[in-house]
Amino acid sequence: MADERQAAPAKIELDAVTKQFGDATAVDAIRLAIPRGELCVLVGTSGCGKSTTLRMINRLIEHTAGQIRIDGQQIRDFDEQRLRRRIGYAIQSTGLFPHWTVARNIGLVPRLLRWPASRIAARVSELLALLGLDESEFAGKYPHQLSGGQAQRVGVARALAADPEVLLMDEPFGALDPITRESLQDELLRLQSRLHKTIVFVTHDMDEALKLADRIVVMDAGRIVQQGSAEALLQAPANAFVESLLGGRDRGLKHAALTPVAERMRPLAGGAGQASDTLSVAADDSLRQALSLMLWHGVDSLLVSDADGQVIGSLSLRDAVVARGANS
Amino acid sequence: MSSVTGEHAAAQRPDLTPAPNPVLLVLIALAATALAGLPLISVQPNRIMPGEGLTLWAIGAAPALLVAVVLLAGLAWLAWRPTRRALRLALAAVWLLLALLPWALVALAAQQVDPAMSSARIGLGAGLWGGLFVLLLALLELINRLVLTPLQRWGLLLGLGLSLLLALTGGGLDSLALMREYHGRSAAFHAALRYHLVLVAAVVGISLLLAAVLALAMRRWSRLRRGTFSVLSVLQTIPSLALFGLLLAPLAYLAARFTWLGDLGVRGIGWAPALIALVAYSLLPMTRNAYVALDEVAADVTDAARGMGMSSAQVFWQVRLPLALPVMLEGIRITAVQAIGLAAVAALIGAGGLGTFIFQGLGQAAMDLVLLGALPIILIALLVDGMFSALAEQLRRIQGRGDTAHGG
Ligand SMILES: Nc1ncnc2c1ncn2[C@@H]1O[C@H](COP(=O)(O)OP(=O)(O)OP(=O)(O)O)[C@@H](O)[C@H]1O
Ligand SMILES: [Mg+2]
Repeated sequence: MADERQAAPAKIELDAVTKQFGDATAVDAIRLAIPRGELCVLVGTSGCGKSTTLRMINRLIEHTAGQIRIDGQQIRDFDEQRLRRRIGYAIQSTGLFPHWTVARNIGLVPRLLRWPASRIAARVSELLALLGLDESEFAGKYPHQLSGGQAQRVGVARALAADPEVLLMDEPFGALDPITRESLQDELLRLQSRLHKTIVFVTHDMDEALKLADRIVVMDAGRIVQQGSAEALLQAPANAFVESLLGGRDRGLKHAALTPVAERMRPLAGGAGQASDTLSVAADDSLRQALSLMLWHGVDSLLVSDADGQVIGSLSLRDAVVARGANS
Repeated sequence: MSSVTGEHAAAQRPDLTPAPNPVLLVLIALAATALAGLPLISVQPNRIMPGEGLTLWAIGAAPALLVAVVLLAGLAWLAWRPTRRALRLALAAVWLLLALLPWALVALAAQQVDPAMSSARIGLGAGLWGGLFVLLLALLELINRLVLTPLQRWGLLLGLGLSLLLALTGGGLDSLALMREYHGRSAAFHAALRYHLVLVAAVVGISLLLAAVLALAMRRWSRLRRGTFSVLSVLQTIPSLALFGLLLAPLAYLAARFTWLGDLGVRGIGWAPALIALVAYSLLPMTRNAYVALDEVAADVTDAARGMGMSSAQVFWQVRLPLALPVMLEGIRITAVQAIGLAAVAALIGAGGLGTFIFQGLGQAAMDLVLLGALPIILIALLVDGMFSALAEQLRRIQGRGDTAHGG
């Protein structure tokens, strides 16, 4: 299984890709291989070339040098419109057409692909349901009648409409309030666990990157500074820039936010018991939430409960702070 | 993003009785003064003899007087406490006054003119014009206050137009000086009206076409932009008579040189210079609006359109053009209204149209003949103006960019 995956060519490959605008080099000979089904997040400060990289993949920007391949084939060999219809594209400002209804917006790419009307209608219903938008309420609305979060859902639905294997997302949740952003992030993770798209996701928010990414690609001034899993980056940032992006001294908390309580708790010796009035956290809460609870209530241990509220273990401050095995 | 214009000042006031509407009160006072104090009509025994002005008091038509007084007093009372309901009632009253005006005139005509005297005529006096004007202003004020939809506005205006048309065609107003002038030359009037409309339509059509080409060229080659706009602006500053004069010699020369042009009717005077001059004036507003409209379509929308795999033609026809349409319509509206007025001046160089009557009337010092040319021009201009505004607003509403998108 693992071997098979290694053998298959990466879904998207960037090979020494460079983009120059006049004399300025926006993207400088970057190499990147994104396997099928991976959610790859590009992070970096403003102007470092994230959007340019993303937009080179669907040829909204033509690269100056190097090769970009999808399924092993150079994107220059494709007809550019046909290429784009195979790649979902969602952007921060949604780019929804203000003069079209939600349903018509979502059906755009299928219509370009000349699907029969009945199939488009069925697909639109399916996508509205998938993104938690009530069809009777939203299908006939115009974009200006939507909230930011709803519009963004429609934008994502439109990107998914023709069931593309590759999805490009440029700060799709950047303009939303933190709570809406978080719920859309959860939704994206839920969708991805079902759909297994190959996603390239741009953000400048490291927390978003840590939460979503299978692989984080940190860019600076048109180059890739470091790439790897969230865990790998937190463990060993390549340089001071990556470290500062990771929050400098907040790194410990960022790491704790990625670690579920279940990983550090001590299972209850005598099987499951009923939760008492002692403080408890859920097993799938993050370590960061557990630490926050301890801080707030001034306690140094918590009970851990499962989804049904059954106590299944306990977590002490020491358990939380020191990984088991690290002290032996 | 969210529009605040839909919310009214009343919403910010905590108490529920709104303050008196000063605009409306002043207008009502003015209307009452005009109708009661100034001569409403003048009766002339024939076209040459000066008429004698008659005020409402001199006429002394008690029932009509009573109706008008009651309506105006009611209006003033409503304007004093302009709740939404009161404003609706006021709208109804103003509308009724306006709709009744032609019929009051019919009654007046019957009373004042002996049907046996076929050359006696009634001129409209300052009181009537003033009252009409002020009442129309009041109607506009109320329409704006109540934030009516384009459809409702059109319904109101159509009703007024219908009332006027019925009064005019019923024969009761035939003794009106204006109608006497009309009946004297109805064939010429209809021909001139048609000619005027065709000229304006041709100007709008041709300048729209040219503007589209220019706007697209400027979007393609941005260096063209400066030069084009300066040339168009200069054209715009040449006085119309001067432009006609400038065109006279070259066109006469061309017509003499190429006989087929002459056969087409191209001369130094007539429709050819009129058309060229009017198109020249129309190009700036038309091109500017077309260019700005196409250019200011949100970049992220066209970016998304391309990113979804639309071809350039699809992006243009399905996204850019529809989104540009409201602003482009604005250009067409400005151009059309301007051309309707300017086409009147073109009558001076023998281009025909309704302007002919204006200049004839001025020559003969026959004000009613002037009106026969001027009134239709004003009415057509207002009609065209309203139609295009309503259309643009309707489009904006759908696209969620209208001022009143959240109101009404
Ligand atoms: N069309 C263009 N013409 C010229 N320069 C451009 C163009 N697009 C981008 N650039 C430049 O390329 C560099 C990278 O831009 P890019 O949009 O990729 O940055 P980004 O990482 O997406 O930043 P942000 O987080 O602000 O969106 C910037 O210096 C930008 O000024
Ligand atoms: Mg960007």
